[in-house]
This record gives sequence, structure tokens and C-alpha cells, in this order.
Amino acid sequence: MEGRTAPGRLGAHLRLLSAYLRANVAMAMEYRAAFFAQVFGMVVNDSLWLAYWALFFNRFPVLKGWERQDVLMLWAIVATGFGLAEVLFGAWRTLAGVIVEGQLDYYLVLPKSPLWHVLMSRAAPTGWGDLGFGLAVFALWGTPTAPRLVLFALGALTSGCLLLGSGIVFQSLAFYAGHAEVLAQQIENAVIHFSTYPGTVFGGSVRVILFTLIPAGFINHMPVELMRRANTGFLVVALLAAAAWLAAGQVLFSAGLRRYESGNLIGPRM
Amino acid sequence: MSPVEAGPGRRRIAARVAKYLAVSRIGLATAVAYRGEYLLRSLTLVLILYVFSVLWRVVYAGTPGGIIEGFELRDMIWYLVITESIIYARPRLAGRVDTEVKSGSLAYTLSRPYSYVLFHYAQTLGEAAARGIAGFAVAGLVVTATVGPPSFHLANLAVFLLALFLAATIDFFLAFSVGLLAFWVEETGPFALLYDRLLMLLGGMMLPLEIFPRLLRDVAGWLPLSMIIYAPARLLVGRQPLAAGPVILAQLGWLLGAGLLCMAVFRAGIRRVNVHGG
Repeated sequence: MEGRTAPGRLGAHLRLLSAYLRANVAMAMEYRAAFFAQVFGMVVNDSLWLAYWALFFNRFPVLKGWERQDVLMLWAIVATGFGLAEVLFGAWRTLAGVIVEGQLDYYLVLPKSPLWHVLMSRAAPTGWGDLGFGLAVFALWGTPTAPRLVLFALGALTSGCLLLGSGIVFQSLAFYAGHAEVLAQQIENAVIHFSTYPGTVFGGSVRVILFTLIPAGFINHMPVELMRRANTGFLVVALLAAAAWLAAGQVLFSAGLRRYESGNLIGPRM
Repeated sequence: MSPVEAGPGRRRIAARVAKYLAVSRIGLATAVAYRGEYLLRSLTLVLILYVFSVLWRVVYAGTPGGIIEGFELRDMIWYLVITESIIYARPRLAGRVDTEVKSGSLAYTLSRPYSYVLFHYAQTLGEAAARGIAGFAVAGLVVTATVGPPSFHLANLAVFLLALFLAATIDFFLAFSVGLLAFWVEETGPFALLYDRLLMLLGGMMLPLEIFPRLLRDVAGWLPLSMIIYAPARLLVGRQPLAAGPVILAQLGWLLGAGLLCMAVFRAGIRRVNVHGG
């Protein structure tokens, strides 16, 4: 609404987010078996990776300065951040499909940002699995004192914003490159994949890419820089990068809307 | 049986085999038809192998002698190329069967002049062949450029291909059984995912069993999961490849066990099918 202050606008958006979250949870509870099956599935999936790293570090205890504890924290941070993005903005990984199929019409006539609406329109049930898994790993192995809890929360939120922002950027390519769903999915897979490996193993030009073209470098350095060294300088840079990726996503999406072609689909929304 | 009597019988068998070969060809053609998408998806495979390459380079850089459990760096990466390609080749069979059971389309298939199980088996093999070859080719090209060509035990090539075929068959029976659980439970997804993930970890996709702690290595070595991934790969890769005879024998044993399990589950499930005319 025009004339509203920035805090007022933020408050309105947060209330909308809360309403969407409640609606999405209520919808998931209508299909409880499917919901819990997906949550369980994601916990199994994440546990596989912890098991892999447990076996790896059992045999090779130190990997370029990283120890098992660091990988545990990496998974705690990434899973929590990714889970939050999935639970709150669950459509971010299918945005390209919505654009390509011309299904944005419904969101264009709603008050507030269409991007905000479309992202919140669904919650990925698997996100609850990731979120629960990340929190459980931190609670079990993260020595959760108050200062570490703050660092962990900041790390997870920043990681979630980096993943979400870059996801919107890559998914919005569908406005410009037509059928970009698979391409966007591949790039996002790369972001997530690189984010879950010890940051120090990557060097040279790949390291540069991980801090520029994709934001994985900020995420996969969190355990050492944030949880071990409490490096506030690193945190500030990571937060700025997250803000930049989110802003880029918003700009690219808004500019892309001008090129959007409706699918003229008629269907019920329940 | 006299030659005169054998003629029609042999023709019937040949006709049956030809029928399922045609299904395999369709599965293969389906995979090839979407080659652009598959190629793009195989980039994920390349990415995974790249990250593993970087990881293992770091490990080997700190290993005196450059050999870990009989694997040089190049062997380790090529081991991963084979194991990742095997996993990449697998269609989502359990999910497909689950959908057919729940939607009821299985009931239509039962009345058709082919076996439901063999139809899926033939289709799965066709698809897996196309995907596996494509994945291995793409990953192999990239890995050749980064760590060099493989030093496979080529004398084992024929037995490796046989082991791959047996591995695909064992995997088919197990994954098919998981999908058939849809007769009894609402959601088979978690079971399918659990099976897939156990296959990846204990089957040796991510690490050769030699890297595991002794007890886990022994347990994993006895499971059918390692016969699907680890064993075929180790026929070709590593300083000391696995002996072909015991691998094939163990695979045949597990194939029999998994096949019987699958048939038992299928028969029990079919009894729950109700077909209504209309």
C-alpha cells in the first residue's frame, strides 16, 4: 500500500508469510501419510551423507584442515537453511516451470509482490525433513551454547538466503531462455552439491566461481569461519552476498515479467 | 524330444523372447528419444565426479606412495565412474510400479498377452542400457581429461558385462518388490528411498568397501547391495581385481533369492486385485 513505511510493509509481508505457512501446513496435514513419508525420506537422504562422511573421516581424519566436526556443522547449517527456504518459499525450485507454463497470471492480480506470492504458494514437505535434520545435528553434535546457537542461526539463515536468492536468479532464466527448467535445476544442483563439501578442497578458478557465479563458497566456509573462528568479517560479507543474490533475483524476476506470456489456463484453485 | 516336436516349442520360445526384446528396444528408444535432456542431466554425474576427483586428489596428495587399499588415484576415480554410472542408469522402477498399483492400471496389464513382471524387466533393461552407456561415456570423457584413461583389467571385460547384467537383474527384483509394497502401504516412497540410499552407501557407490571399517566391510560384502555395484566395478578396477568365479556365483545366489522374493510378493499382491466390469 502506498504511503506505508518500510517496517510497515515488512510487517505486512511477514503476516502474509505466516498466513501462507499456516495454510500450507494445514494442506499437508490433509495428506498426513504422504507428508510424513516425504519428511522421513529426506531425513534418510541426509543421514546417508552423514554416514558417508563418518566413514570418510574414520579413515582420513583430517582433510585440508577439516575434521568430522566441521562437516557435521556444515550439514547442520546447510540442511537448516535449505529446509527453511523449502518450508517458507517452497515454490522456489519450480519457479521456471511456472513461468514456462504461463501459470503466473493468478499471482499478477494479487496485492503485494507476485514473486513473494508465487514463492510462498507451496511448501515442500521434504523441507521439514531437512529442517528437522539440521536442527537435530546441531543439537546433538554442535555443543549448543547460547553464543554458538546465535552463530548457527545466523549461518543457517544466511545460507538459506543465498540458496533462495541464487535459486530465484537461475529459475528466472526461464523468462529469457524458454525451457530452462532442466538447466536451472542443474545449476541449483551444482550450488547445493558444492555447498555440502569442505570449502578448502576447492582451489584456483573453481574457488573464484564458488564465490561469484554461484554462492556455494560462502556456505561451505561457514563451519570453519563462523562456527570455529567466529569470524564476524566473513559473516558480514556472506550477509551482503545473500542480500545481493536476493536483490538480483527480484530484479531479474521483475524485468522478466515484462516478457511473460500467459498460458491462458483456466482451472480451479483450492 | 524329437526334432519334429521341438520345432513349434522352440518357435514359441523364440516368439516370447522376441516380444520382450521388442519391449527392451522400446525402453532403449524412449531413453534415446530424450537424449538432449538425459545429456543435460548427465551433467550432474560429471559434477559429482568432478567434486569426488578434487576430494580424492587432496587425500592422495597426503598419502605416501600414492596407493590406498590397492587403488591409485586414477583407479579410485574410474571406480567411481563405473559405480556412479550404474546408479545413474537405474530408472525409478519402484515409483513406476507404485503408481501402476495405486492407479489400478496394473489390472489392465494383467489381462494382456505378456507377463507384467517380464514386461517391466525388459523395459528396465532397455532404459538402463541406454542411460548407463550415455552416463559412462560422458563421465568417462571428462575423467579421461582430468586423471587420464583407465587401467582396467580388460581380461575381465566379458565377465564384467555378465556381472552387470546379473546386477541389473538383482536390482530389478529388489526395486520391483519395493514398488509392489503399494499393495499394502499407502506410501512406498520412503521404502524406495531407503533402498536407494542403502544401495549407494553399503553397495559401494561412494566408497569402495575396502575403505570401510573391517566389520562393516564384511557385513556389506555379504549383502546383495554390494553385488549390484561394488562387485562388478571391482572386476575391472584396482590393483587386485576380484576373482570372477566367486562374484558370479554370489550374484547367482542373490539373483535366485531376490527373484523368489519378488515372485512371492507379486503373487501375494495380485491376490488383492479386484477387477470390476463396467
